[in-house]
Amino acid sequence: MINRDVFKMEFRRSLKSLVIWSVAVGSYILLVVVLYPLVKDMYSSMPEELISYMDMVGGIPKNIIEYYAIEGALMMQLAGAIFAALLGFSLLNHDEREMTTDVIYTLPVSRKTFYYTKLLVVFLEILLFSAGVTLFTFVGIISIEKNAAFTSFFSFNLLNTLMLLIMGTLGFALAAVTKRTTKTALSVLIPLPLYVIYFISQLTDNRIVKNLKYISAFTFSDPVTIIKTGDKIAFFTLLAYLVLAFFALLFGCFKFRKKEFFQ
Amino acid sequence: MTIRMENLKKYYGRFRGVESVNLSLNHGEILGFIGPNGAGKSTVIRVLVGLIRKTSGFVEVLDNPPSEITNRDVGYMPSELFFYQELTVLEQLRYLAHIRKTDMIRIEQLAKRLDLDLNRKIKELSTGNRKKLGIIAALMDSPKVLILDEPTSGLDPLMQKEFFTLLQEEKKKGASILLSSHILSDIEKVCDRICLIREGVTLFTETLENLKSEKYKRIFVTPAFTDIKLTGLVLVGQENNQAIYQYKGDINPLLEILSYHRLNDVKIVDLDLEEIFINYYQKEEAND
Repeated sequence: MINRDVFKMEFRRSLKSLVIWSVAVGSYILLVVVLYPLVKDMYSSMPEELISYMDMVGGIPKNIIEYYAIEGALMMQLAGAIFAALLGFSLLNHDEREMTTDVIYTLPVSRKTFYYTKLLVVFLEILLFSAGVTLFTFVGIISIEKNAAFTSFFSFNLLNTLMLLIMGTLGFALAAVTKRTTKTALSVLIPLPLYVIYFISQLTDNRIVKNLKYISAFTFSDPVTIIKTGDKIAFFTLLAYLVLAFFALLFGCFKFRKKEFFQ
Repeated sequence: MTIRMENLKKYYGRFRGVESVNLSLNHGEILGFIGPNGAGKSTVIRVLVGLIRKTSGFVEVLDNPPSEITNRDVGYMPSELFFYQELTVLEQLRYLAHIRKTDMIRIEQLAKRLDLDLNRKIKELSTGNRKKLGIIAALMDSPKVLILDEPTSGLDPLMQKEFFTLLQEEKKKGASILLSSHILSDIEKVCDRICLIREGVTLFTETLENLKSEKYKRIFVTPAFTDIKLTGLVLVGQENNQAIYQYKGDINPLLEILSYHRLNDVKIVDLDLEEIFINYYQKEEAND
């Protein structure tokens, strides 16, 4: 089901964007984290209005890990989810976009093998991206506070990686069911509304809107819940997304095998 | 038989791809597949290599429906060639060779014969060099079946000659070749049989000899007598004090009728393949 040559070529061709995204997002988080000593002082002199806003998004952080959860992790999640969805979509769609289908999909390799081999590349690259960004963050935190407690940090990064894998899978499946002319940017429509829903639900007291967060994939990997408050994660949301990703993959494979390629 | 296609129909939603195509490719033969733009040649070829699915009809390549399994033994060259732009020719060919499980020696030989620099980036290649790359990609493992869509357009005459030599070599090895082309002189050079398609329907499949034996002739008559009447004789033009007729039939009545006229000059020539096909198209259009 996996073709080694296709795997190597696909990995090689998408390596550049992986490096760019990893370094860009990692550097951003590193910068946020190393600013902690400066920001820590600002928290103590924060006006009341800002403190009440901070309470809505997790409260004033007590240490660098909590600071990372509140100030950096969410942005990293959004950037990561966009990267994952774009990667998933473009990795399956690029042969159609570049019109290389006539040369590539007439090779003695089944569509199913192409599909699962490319998916494996998506998964590997998301894992590498996640590991890279985590490493950047880890180095940043260590450079500021050597004795930071990393258990919740790693738990969050694990769940976040799972969320990114789901986003990549959904982007991938989307490419299987859309036409050649569909713009890759369409895949951003998977994480973006989910992020907006999650973010708005944080800023309101309305119960209905607050509960909307359970339809967002960002909820089960919420850094504030995992790192700061220690509340239970949204398990059912996680389960629902795993099931959704699984069926999206199967359906995507079915559609991809039947897909007709034109120039 | 390496390719068998009976009553192939392909519709894209409401739009016709092909209506009824019957085609057969025998072992070790070169079949010319010709027709005007939009006739459905590329649709037929895309069905054969599994890029699109038939709406109805029967299609077999090497006794199996088209799939990745039949593609093991099929070398395909599309009319428009796109490769991975950022790779070099060598990297692209190595990738294809690994998947096709063939060695690089043959590729290097083909590149040398076609004068293609393996170290150049694909994005820097001219149309002709891109065609050469397509030819190597299709021929690299000497497949049992070759499906070539407009392979010579963009190649210079020397390379075209080399390409036809390569085709003949593949034929000698036992390959069956489906050659789609607009250039009838190409078809005339190498094909054993010709299949003509128009508006999604195959009109006929014939050997070149049979086609030429239809004995269409063109007659140039000086001065320009435009009133010569004979069954099978049609006035098609007039220029420089010369009347041009087209004739199909026995030569003797023609010579007899011409002898009744006081002529300065008369020239009788066989029609070439292109003119024969134009006649076919016109005949079909008249029938429509």
